[in-house]
Amino acid sequence: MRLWSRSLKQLLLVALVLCVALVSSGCIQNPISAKAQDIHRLFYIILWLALPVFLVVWGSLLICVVRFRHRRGDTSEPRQTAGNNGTIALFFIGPLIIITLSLLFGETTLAKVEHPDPPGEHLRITGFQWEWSADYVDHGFTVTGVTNKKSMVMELPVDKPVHVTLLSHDVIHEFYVPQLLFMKNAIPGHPNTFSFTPDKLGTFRGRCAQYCGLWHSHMTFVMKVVTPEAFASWVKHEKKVSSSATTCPVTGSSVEIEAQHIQWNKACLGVVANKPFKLQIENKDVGIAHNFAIYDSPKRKHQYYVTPTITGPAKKTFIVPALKPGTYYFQCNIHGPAMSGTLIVGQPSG
Amino acid sequence: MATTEVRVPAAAPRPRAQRILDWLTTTDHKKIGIMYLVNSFTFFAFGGAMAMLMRTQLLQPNDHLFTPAEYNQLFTMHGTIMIFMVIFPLLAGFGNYFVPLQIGALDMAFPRVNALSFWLLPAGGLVLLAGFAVKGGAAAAGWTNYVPLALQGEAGEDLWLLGLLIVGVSSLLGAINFIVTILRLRAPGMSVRRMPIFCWATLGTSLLVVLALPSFTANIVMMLADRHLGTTFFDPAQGGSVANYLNTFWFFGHPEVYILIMAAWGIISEIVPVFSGRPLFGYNGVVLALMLVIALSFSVWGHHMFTTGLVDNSFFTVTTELISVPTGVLFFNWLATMWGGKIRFEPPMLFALGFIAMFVIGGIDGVWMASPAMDYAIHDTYFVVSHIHYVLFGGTVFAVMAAMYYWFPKMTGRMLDRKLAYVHFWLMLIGFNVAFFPMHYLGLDGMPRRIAEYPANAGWTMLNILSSSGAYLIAVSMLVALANLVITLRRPRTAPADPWEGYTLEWATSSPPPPHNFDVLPPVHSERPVYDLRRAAVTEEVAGA
Repeated sequence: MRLWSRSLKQLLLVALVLCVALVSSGCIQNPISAKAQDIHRLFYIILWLALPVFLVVWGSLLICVVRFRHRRGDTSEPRQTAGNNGTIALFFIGPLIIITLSLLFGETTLAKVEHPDPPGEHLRITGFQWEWSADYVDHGFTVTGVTNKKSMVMELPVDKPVHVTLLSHDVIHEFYVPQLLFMKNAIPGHPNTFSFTPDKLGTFRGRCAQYCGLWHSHMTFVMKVVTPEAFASWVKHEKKVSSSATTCPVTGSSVEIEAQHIQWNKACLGVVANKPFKLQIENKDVGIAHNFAIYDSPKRKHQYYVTPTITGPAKKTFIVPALKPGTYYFQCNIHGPAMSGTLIVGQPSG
Repeated sequence: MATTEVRVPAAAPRPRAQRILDWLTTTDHKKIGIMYLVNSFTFFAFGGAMAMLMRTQLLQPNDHLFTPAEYNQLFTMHGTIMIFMVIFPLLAGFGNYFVPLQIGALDMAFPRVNALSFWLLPAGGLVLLAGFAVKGGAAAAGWTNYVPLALQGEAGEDLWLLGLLIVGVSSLLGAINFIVTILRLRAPGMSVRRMPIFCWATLGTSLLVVLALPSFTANIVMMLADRHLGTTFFDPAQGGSVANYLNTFWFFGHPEVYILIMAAWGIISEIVPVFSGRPLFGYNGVVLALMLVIALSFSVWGHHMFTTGLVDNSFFTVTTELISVPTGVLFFNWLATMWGGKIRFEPPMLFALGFIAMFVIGGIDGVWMASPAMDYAIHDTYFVVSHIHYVLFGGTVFAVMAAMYYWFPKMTGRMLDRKLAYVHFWLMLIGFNVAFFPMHYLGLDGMPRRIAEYPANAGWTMLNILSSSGAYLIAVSMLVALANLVITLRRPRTAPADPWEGYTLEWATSSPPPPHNFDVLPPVHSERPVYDLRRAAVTEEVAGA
């Protein structure tokens, strides 16, 4: 018995050291915002609350296994006593204390994380199958990824609060940057908002965390936190790119366009002015919906025309009312700038 | 004591075709119970094979084995089969066989309905699996089948919906049958306060099924209508609501978690006292805990939606933390039962100890996830994958194995081999932890769940290799168990009526029991009638001497 209790103590000690080493071996992300820092701290607070629970259960289990094992030749019967109500009441009270503490710390952190940051950059981020786009609302340009071709790259100035409105027009997605220790769903029909202030320079990989279909595992993006100067020059560059015009010849009063792999096969369409024209859309994406909308410009101040959604595979023809001569912008409203182009309305060339 | 020595009179061997027809047309709860178990273990092999394929895909970065389209079907069907075709039916199988025996009944209340609910199960399962044979493959929207993604699916998605509709009818009929059986068919003296905890747990599970499942069934019907009849319940582009689906799905989905574990708690509450040689420490406390879990389980669904911005996170964190209290009470009761006992390390007890050690880790993981701010960092990562496997594998599968070793002699008249059982236990315990513990780290390191591939520079390769090797070890352990089963079934029927010095009525009849269950039903004066019988026999002997 003596021997057993000594080796039991050693066993318990080894188990304790092992589990502390295992659990606290620096596994959680290094936070890059004050809110992430709070969540990071909460992880360790819960660890310290959970550890006693773990030790009590595993400790008693080990003691039972060693001390209360049946020994060969022992035919006596163990005590046949059941617990009294007082002890059983204690079983309820123990866990209640742990959860009350967990609740207190958890709610305090939650309040901090949900508290809006001071005003700063406004971003409208849209998840779509299977990329991201971000409208820099204050600057009037959009960065976007192209499905299976390139990921969205968004830059943010360090130490400036970012306010995000999160949207989706197809299925549920989830904006997730591990180093922010944060994720939030982009839900069709229900915009979500959140804010954070990145306080560390660097390049961070983000992802869609909510399973969203075929290429979910490719739905990544890059978040670069840069100096304010670098950000200003990046904004200037992106604005220039987005305002550079594409042109194409006006061919008549009928155009065709195809959608496949979440892309249009044409970046520019030309049609005759002041005359209704025929628009034929073929959607080759099985099970995926697209539509076709015509706007004044990528800023989408005015919408001239929009088709209903067409779920692929399908081919449909629409008659678009007459438009005045000029340069227009078109996109699929579900996939946004990732599926957009220029519509030239004018006189037939040649 | 005569009642424990009863033997089935040896019947003349009958032709094979006749015996097969007997099984196909039987309404005997014991045969149906065995068919439930055989069916579930067969699907377990399918679901397990899918897991092995997934782990092989994740063994290396990038899609070296499967395309994302294939992988997405695999994880969807793995989850669906394990939850609906394996874990719940396994527990229902044990329930079918042992609830009538434990309460001293002749059969289930509605034997024909019982046969129907069994036969619907393989039918539904085959419809699910048929997805792999149709154009576009099996359903690939995850077992949660979120809209609008699920509305995009092809024929496989329809088969998924139809298959689960059939399985749902099976579960519902089974649950009603259990409730009526337990409430109406208890033997004289078997008051509810003397009912074995496994029966309480099966009653609880059945109540959960009856209350929660209709929500899921309604969702399936609305989704089929959306897909084929032009309705727009869930299509936000046409006025439908994604939020409605999420809320009603998880209103079913969280009680479902308890549907998958409560009977396992019942099994552990049977095995721990028997092999500790003590009564259950707090019978009333355990029953109260089960009832509290049932009540609270309908108020926690929002914790699956902390990151959606659609629910009041603070409310759902309070209810979620509260439901951990009755669960904690169960642990303390099992530990207090062992404390001061004389523990016999027979195979069922080893698996029960494994259950306690592993399930507590799953429970502790839950403390992180129940805290919304913390959940923002780990929701939809591998941390969750780890958590649910510590609960459903470390929990329920360990309990199912414990039940298998515990009740196999009763069902077949044969004792499973002990040495192979120990090999099975240790391989499964080690394999399980090597497979699933590293997933905590992967989740904290930012690896989302349900990704078909990961880049080589993500830094997740080593832990994934570790996890996959653990998964293979689990597969090996299952082969050992299968070998044990095959070897044992070729041995003669030598198991005594009561090989473990059990407490409950199933040990008062022969192994296997006669078709009518009991030749003589012993009197029931406590929650341990067979223990009382043994004591009375000892006293008689002493008095006689």
